[in-house]
Amino acid sequence: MVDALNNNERRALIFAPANDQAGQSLQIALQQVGFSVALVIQLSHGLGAFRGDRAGEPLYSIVIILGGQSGLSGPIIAQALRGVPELAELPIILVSDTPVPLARCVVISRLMDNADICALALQEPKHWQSVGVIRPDSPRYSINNTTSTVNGIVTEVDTPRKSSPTQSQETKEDNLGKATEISDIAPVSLSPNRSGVLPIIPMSLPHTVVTTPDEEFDPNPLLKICARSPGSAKEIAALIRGDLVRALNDFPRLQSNGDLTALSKAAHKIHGASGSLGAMGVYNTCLTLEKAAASGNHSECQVAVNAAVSSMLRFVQRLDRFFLTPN
Amino acid sequence: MRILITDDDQVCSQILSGILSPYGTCQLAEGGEQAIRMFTNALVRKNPYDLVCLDILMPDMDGHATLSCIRSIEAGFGIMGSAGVRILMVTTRDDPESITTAFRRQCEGYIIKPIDEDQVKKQIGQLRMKSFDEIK
Repeated sequence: MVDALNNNERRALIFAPANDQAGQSLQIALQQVGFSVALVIQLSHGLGAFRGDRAGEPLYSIVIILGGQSGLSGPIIAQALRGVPELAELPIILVSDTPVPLARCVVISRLMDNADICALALQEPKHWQSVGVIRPDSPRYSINNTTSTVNGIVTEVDTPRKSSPTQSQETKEDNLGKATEISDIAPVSLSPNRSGVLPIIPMSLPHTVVTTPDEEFDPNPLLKICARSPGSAKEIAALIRGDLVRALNDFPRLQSNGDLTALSKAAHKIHGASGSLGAMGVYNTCLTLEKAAASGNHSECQVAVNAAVSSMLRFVQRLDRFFLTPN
Repeated sequence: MRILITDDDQVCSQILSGILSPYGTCQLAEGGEQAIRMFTNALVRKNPYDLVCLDILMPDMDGHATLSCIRSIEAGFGIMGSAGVRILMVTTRDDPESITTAFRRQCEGYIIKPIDEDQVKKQIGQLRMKSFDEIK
C-alpha cells in the first residue's frame, strides 16, 4: 500500500454521501479490479480533506463522485477540482449513490485507459454543465445526443438500487451485475473517522521479512552511508551503543515494575534504530517486545525481554569489535 | 537545499542525515514542537526548508500532528498545494491507518523503517525536486 501511494499507480479518490455504504462497497470493489488505493471522503467534507497533488502531479489517478444527482455537493466538488490546474485533466466519474456493481468498476477501470475521456462534453443538467464529468451509470443523459460510448466502451448503464425491481433482471443478465456489498468481498466493518474519511482496506498488506547474513550487526550499510565521513559511522555506532546499554538496564526493570507502556516505548526506540543499522536480530526481538508490551501481556513480555536482552548483548559485542576496526 | 530531519531517535536522525547530506544542508529536530519552531522561523526569515522528514512516534508532538501543523502554517503564509514543502514520513508505523492519515494530511511520501538508503533516494527522486534532480 505504501508503494501504491508513493508511486504512480492506479489510485481512486471517492467522494461519497455521508452515512452511505455505497462508498465503502465501491472502495472494496475497485480494489478487486486492480486499483491499488481507493480513499473515500464524505461529500460534505469537501476538498479540504485531501491533498490533490504531489509535486505537481495528481496524487490520485481518478476521482469518482457518488451521488449528487439532486444535490449540489457533487457538482461543487467537480467544479472545484476542475479549477485546480494540476487536476484539470483528472478523469472525474459520476455514479449514482447506490451500491456500485463490480461490473461497473470494471468499466471504470477500463475508462481510465482511454486518453480521450476528458475531452468528452456531456449534455448535463444545469448543475453539471461545463464540469466535464463522465456518467457511467445513468441512461438519462447522453453525450452530444448520441449513445454514450467511449471508443466502444459503453459508459451509460444504469445502476439500480439494491431494492429496486430492476435488480433481479440485471443480475440475470450480468453475472457481475449484482450490487456489491461489503460482506460479499471482505468480512470487515468500516466506520469513518472524525474527518469523515474511511480507511483504506488493505487487501493484502505484505509482511516485510528482512534477512541479513549477520543478524546482529551488518556495518556495511552504515559505512556506505558514511562513506564521505568514516568517522561519523563510529559516532552513530556509539549512539546506538549508549541506547543499548540503557535498554539492557531498562527492559528488565520496566518489565518487573509492570510499566508496560514505558517498556513498549523503550523497545520501540531500539527497534527503529537497530534495524536501520542492519541489526535485524535486535530489530525483530524488540519489535516483538514492543507489541507484547503494547498488548499488556506480562508473560509474553517476560519471554520477549529475555530474547531482546540476549540479542542486544550480542549487538553490543559486535559494535565493540567494530570500534576496534580502523576507519 | 535545506532539509529538516525530525526524529527523537538520534541514531535514525544521523543515518538520514548521512543519506541526505549530499543533497543539501541537514538540520535536526528532536521532536515535533522543535520542528514547528524551526520550520516557522525559516519561513519568517524567508529561507524555508525544501524537505522535511518526519518520524511519527515522538514524545511531545507526534508526526501526524506536526504534519498538520506545518500545512496550517504554510496556509497562513499563503503557501498552498505544490508550492509547499515536501514532507517525507520516515517511521516504523506500518499500519494502514497511520499511512492513510499521513497522506490525507498532505505528506508526499512515506518510508517504513528500517531506513534503507536506496529506498530513501528513490523517494527523493519521486519528489521531483529540481535540486535533487541535478544531483542524480
